[in-house]
Amino acid sequence: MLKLMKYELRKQMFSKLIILIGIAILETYFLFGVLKEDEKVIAKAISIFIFATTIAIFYVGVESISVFNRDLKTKQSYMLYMIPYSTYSIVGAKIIAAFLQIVFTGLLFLGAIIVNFIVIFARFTDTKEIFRMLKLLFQQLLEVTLDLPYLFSFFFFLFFLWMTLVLCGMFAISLSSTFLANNRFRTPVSIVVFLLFLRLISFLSNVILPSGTSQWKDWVEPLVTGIYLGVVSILLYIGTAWMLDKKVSV
Amino acid sequence: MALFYQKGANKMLECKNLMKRYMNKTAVEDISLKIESGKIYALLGPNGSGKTTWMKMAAGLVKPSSGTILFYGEEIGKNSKKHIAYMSTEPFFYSFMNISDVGRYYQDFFEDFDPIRYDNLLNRMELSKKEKAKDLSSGMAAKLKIAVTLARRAQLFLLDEPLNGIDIIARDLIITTILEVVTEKNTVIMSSHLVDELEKIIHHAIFIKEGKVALSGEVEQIRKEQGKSIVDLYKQIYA
Repeated sequence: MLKLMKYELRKQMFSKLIILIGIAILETYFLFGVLKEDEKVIAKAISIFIFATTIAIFYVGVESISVFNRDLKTKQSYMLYMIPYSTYSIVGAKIIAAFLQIVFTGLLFLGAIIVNFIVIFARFTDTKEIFRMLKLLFQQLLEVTLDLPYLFSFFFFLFFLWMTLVLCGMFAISLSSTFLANNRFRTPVSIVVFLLFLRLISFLSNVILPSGTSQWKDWVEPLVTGIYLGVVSILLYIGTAWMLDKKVSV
Repeated sequence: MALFYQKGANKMLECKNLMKRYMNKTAVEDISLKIESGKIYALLGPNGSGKTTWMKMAAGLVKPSSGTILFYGEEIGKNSKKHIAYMSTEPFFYSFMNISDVGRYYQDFFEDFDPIRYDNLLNRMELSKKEKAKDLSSGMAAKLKIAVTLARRAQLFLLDEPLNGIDIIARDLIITTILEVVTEKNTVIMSSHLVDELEKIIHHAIFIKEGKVALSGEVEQIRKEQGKSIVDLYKQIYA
């Protein structure tokens, strides 16, 4: 499995390089603002950092789905499906590789943001005020009390939400490949199937999860939704690997 | 190796009533075959006759719509892939790979891959390890596919159009290399349009027409019974 992951990571190496270059440019812009003591530039750099983090993490997920599609659609599929590994290992390696890339991308941005705050600490004295405002901003944005259980629960939910999206993409591609092989309508059909399944997952979430969630503590709802998405992810993983094993031709 | 090869049991691959249908097109209609070890087979037929689809089913890349295909009595899958080396007619290496990476990939995933044999074959084919696989000319890419596939000590080699894109001089080199890998324990199945090139080296010919076996048998026997060469029979069957 480690060997499979090694090659999965190499397939997406180029985009990580682009992300690194992007961070370097943003960091330079931020430091320029600090040196010039230009609050507008600093604020703009931090805003772009937060926006870029969201985009980069989203992109890594989309790229994982796109690589999965390419690995079924092009002749490169032979490289993957002629090796003596089960489809469960192949899909599993893809998922873990995608997860590692999210962590890597997230840590890169987090690292850069931490460096930025250290620089702000060193340069400016009134840091307590900055943190107070940040906490207020988060609380107003998310309408919750920002504490440790909530943060843990929220990131747990985010992880499985992202996992569900990636696996739903892979599942939709495998399902359309089962019926359409290399037909030119396969990609648009995959997109429609993907959207329909997301709608179904969301609908089932509303049906299964208790309606009185508003009475729960802030941190319970994302945790329960995360568990639900975790179960959905497992089902999507099994379904994808089964179709690849029994039905899909490359 | 011991998992599959059994002395005396030379029925390596067997398929019965194999069929593959894609939506409104039937690629393989009804193929039943027995492949024995220690022989070179030629899978003959024009484009679209079903040769490639049959090979891909034997390699585990294409799932049959109906019928069975067994490798030493076991369904095609994870275990059979350990012993079957498939070479497609199109280039299939990842675009980030150079020739050295291709060898490392095979070494990572196939226990029967012999890196020394790979190096020797690369030298013989005059390929440099540093070259990017995607930048190779069609002839060089064909040589790389042959080198990396034959560097495996597989029990069954499935070579789809191994002489495609290869010039006349290099063809002899490829044919010699293929002949070197054949022992009593393994088998080579080749598809090709270049029937005259194959006739000299094959033991068994399988003519595929419109997804069915039109004629199959030992080359010597076919020549004797039909009173024609394989080339002439090819012209007769597909004209």
